[in-house]
Order: sequence, then C-alpha cells, then structure tokens
Amino acid sequence: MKNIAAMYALVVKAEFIKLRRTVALWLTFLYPLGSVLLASLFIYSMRNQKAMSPVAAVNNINNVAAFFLPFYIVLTISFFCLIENRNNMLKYIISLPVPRHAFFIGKLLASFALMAITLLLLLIFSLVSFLLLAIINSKTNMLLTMDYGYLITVFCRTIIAGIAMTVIQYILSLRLKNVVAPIAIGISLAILPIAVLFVLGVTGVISNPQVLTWLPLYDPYTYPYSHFFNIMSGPSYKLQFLPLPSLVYLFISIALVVFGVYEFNHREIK
Amino acid sequence: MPDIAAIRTTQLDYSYNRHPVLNSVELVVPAGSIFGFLGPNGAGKSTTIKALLGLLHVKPGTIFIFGKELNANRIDILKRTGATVESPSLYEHLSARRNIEITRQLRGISQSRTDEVLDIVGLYSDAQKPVKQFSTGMKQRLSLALALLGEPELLILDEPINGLDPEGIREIRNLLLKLNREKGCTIFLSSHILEEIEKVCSHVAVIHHGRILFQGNAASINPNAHTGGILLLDTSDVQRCRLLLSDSECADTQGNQLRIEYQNKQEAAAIIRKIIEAGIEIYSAIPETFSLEESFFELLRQDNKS
Repeated sequence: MKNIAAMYALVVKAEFIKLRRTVALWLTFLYPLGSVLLASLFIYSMRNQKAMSPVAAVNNINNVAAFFLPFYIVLTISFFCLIENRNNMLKYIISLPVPRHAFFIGKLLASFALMAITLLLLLIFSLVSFLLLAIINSKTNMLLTMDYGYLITVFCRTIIAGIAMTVIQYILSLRLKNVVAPIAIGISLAILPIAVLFVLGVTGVISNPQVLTWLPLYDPYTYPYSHFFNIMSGPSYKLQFLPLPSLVYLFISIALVVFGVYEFNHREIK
Repeated sequence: MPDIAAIRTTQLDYSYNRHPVLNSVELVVPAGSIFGFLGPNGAGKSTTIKALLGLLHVKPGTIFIFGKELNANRIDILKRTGATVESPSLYEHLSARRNIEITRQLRGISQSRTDEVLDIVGLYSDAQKPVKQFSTGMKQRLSLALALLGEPELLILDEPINGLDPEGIREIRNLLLKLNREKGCTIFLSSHILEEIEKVCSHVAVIHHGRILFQGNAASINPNAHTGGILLLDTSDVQRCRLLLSDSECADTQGNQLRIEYQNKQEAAAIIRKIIEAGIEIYSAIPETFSLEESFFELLRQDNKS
C-alpha cells in the first residue's frame, strides 16, 4: 500500500514537471483571477448604492466562478492530457516500469491537484480583492464582517461539483488523441442543456423558475451551474458543504475511475 | 538450464482492424548480441517492438524477456530495459534536462545519472534548451539518453539513427558498440539503414508482411546459402569455358572471370571438374559474397515471388 502511494506520488510529481509552460497551468491561474476580477468590477460598480453584504459579495464571485467552471475544466483537462497525446508520449510512458494504473490515477490526482490550486487561488484572489475594494472605498470594507466559513464552504462545494465532469473529461481526453474532440464534446455538454433550458423558458414551455434549480443537476457538466441557481434562490436556501447530488456524483466518479483504470489497463497503445 | 536468449517470442500474431500485421513471429535474440531488425515500411517492425514493450496485447503468442514471461513480469522486465518507440517521443515544450527528470522520477533513479546520460549523448551543453528547438538528430540523441537512464541490460531502439548526420550516426554507432562491449548490453534495433546495420549488428532478422523471413548470424544472411550461389572462376580460357558450359551453368563473364550459378555444392564441384577435365586451368574459385543490402532485397524478392 505504501509502495503504491509512493508510486502515485512519483507520477504526480512527474506530472507537475510536465505542466511547466503549458496552457493547462496558465488556465489554472487565469480562471480564478478572471472570475474574481469580473465579480469585483461588478461589486465596485455597486459602490454608490446600498452597501453590499459580504455574503452577497462572496455569492457574486462564486456565481462567476460556477459559470466558468465547466469551461475551465474542459479546457484544462483536455490540454493537460494533450501533453501526452501530442508527441506520442503515451507509448513512451507505458514502456516505463510504472504500472498503467499508477499512471492513470497519478495523472488524475494531478488534475485534482490543479483544481485544489484553483480553489486556493480563488480564496486568495477574493481576499485580495476585498482588501483592494476596502482600500479604494471604505464603504465596501467586507474583510472585518466576512463570514470566512461561508466563503470557504461556498467555493469548496462549487469546485467539488466539478469532480464528476473532471473525471469524464479526463477519460475522454486520454482516449481521444485529437484535442478538438474532447473539447467539443465537453463544451457541448456544458452549453447544450442550458441552451435547451433557455429555449424552453423563452417559448414558455418552462414557466416555473424552480425548474432551473433542478434541471442542470442531471448533467455533470452543468451541475456546477446549479450552485449558481441554488444560491440565487434566496435566503431560505440552506447551504450544505456536500449536498446530496454532489455525493451521488462522487460515487459516480469513483465508478468511472474504476472503469477508466480497467479500460486503460487493457488498452492497445498503437 | 538458463535461457541464453534476451528475447524469445513464440507465435506472435497481431491484427489492426482485421488486417494481419504480425504472423506467427518467432524471434530469438541472443543475450549480449546487437540484433538488427530489418524490414520495409509496414512490415511489422514497430508493431513487434510495441509488443515487446507490452504496449500491445498479442494473442496468441508469448514473449519471454530475460527468460521471464512479459505479461506476468512486465514491471521487472521494463526496469532492466530501455527503449525508444517510433519517432523520438519527447515533451517538446520542456528542456532536455526536464525530459530526463520526468523519466528519472518515474524510474526512481538518482539525480546524478541525469548529467551522466546527457554527457554520454553529448547534450550536456544544450540541456537547458527547449526540445522544440532541437534538430532531429539532437532529439534522437535525447531519446537515447532516456533509454540509457536506467543502465539497461536490454536496449530496444526503433530507428535510432533516423535523421542523424554522418557524424551523429558514427557517434551513435560507437556508443552502441561500446555499450555492448563494455556493459554486455543486448541491443535490439530496427532500422532502414542497412549499411549501418551491417556495420553494427552481430545478428539480424528480416521481417516482411509480418513474417520473419530470416534470422540468425549477420554473416549468414545470404539467401542462397542453403540452396546454392554464385562462384567467380579465374580461368586460363574464358571463351572455351563459355562454350563448354551450358547457359544454365554459366551466368556471365567478367573479363577473365566466369560467373557460375550453382544450385548446390555438388553441382559446383561437378562444373569445376568439367572445366579441369577439358584441360582448362582454374587459378581461383571465389564464392560471390552478398552485401546485407543485396541479401535483404533478394529475401524480399523471393518472398514476393512465393
């Protein structure tokens, strides 16, 4: 067991060397920075109106982050796997004395590590943003009244909501050599259900806005959006760190990882 | 009794989309040899190499490396093996040093070995450059450095001298010979460059349409060795010899030399006897030797005919 853990750690370490100068690493910095920047501009634009509560400010940042999360995951994971596919590196890596499952799991763990870095950066950039807003305008000083537990919970549950789609995108990206294919599939899965919802809403087929909160639940690529909608559904909404759908998606993710390892172990590396 | 073959395969079959690529491939690579694996494009060289590295699952068929069955002992075998597969596989956005670092991490090798292999392949001064700025030859050398990192007992190299300039080819040739001589490393290499294979390899195998046409000592590749050959005779009277021998016996004349085609040794002896009994003197009788290239194309020609 210790040996397996050590082997996974070696693979993760090697994956981080590969990440240098890659689009995947840049996106990991740009996504939280962009999300916080966009939300902060909105918060700043509201400075002359009624003072925004810290919870509302956090929700603003989280909404932007939840909206862009599927795109971030699709692009980051696809480009991360492209590192192997671009130069036929999979053949070389599999010819090394590393079990195939260790490579598969190790690289997936590195993908999760990228998401953890994203979460951390999201928290750091948010705090820096609140600090800067307070310096610019004392009316928007939220650092002293901030509910830090809420801040961490909101961001964590949004990132956790992306785990299932991370696993699916990872399996797809490692399977399909042409990077366009996994990106196209991922973006379609993230946009189409929302587009359908929009059309149904415009045409009046959906008249109940509550539908918006549960419909995205059934597609792992739109599930992060539901956090956006849930938070918008008002103060009666009870914030859970790990809501039931997230728990279900975690179990689905584990099943997908088992399937992925089996497929990868038996794959012909042509 | 220990298996003296570094690689032994039995009945390797493999098909891509129902198209057979390997057909009952049986290879025996003697330990300590430099084994040249020859074949035209699409003959099955790379597929065989992929099978030897466990990238493809060949069924039926068994692969033994160092006397151990590959599927059951894959990790142990790969620890003792260094390989390059097809074109140089490298992380082009990274430097040569980082490329080696990745393999070093995964193989669990000490850090000092990175500088050693960079020095061996002559890339020490370019170690910090991104690989995308490397020439094909430099990439080939870096691939070789990666293969050498684990101080392998067996090197499996797929077209290792492709893209190298004459100087680079000579360096790699000397390096392979040195590794083989000093470390006893068995080297299995595929190449199109027959001239190089001839200079380096002690043993060769020829694959065509997924079938092994020949394997054995490099000196014995002459496709006519078992059935017959050509004898060059230096005689006192070429013209009389020409009249004496039938068209099927005498292939050609070259100045004072007569080219005699024979089907077997007995036939060669009978022709010589016939000439001597006619009172013509024979000053020398030299069997015509085939270069590896001639032998290779002759093997392919015979296979295409059959």
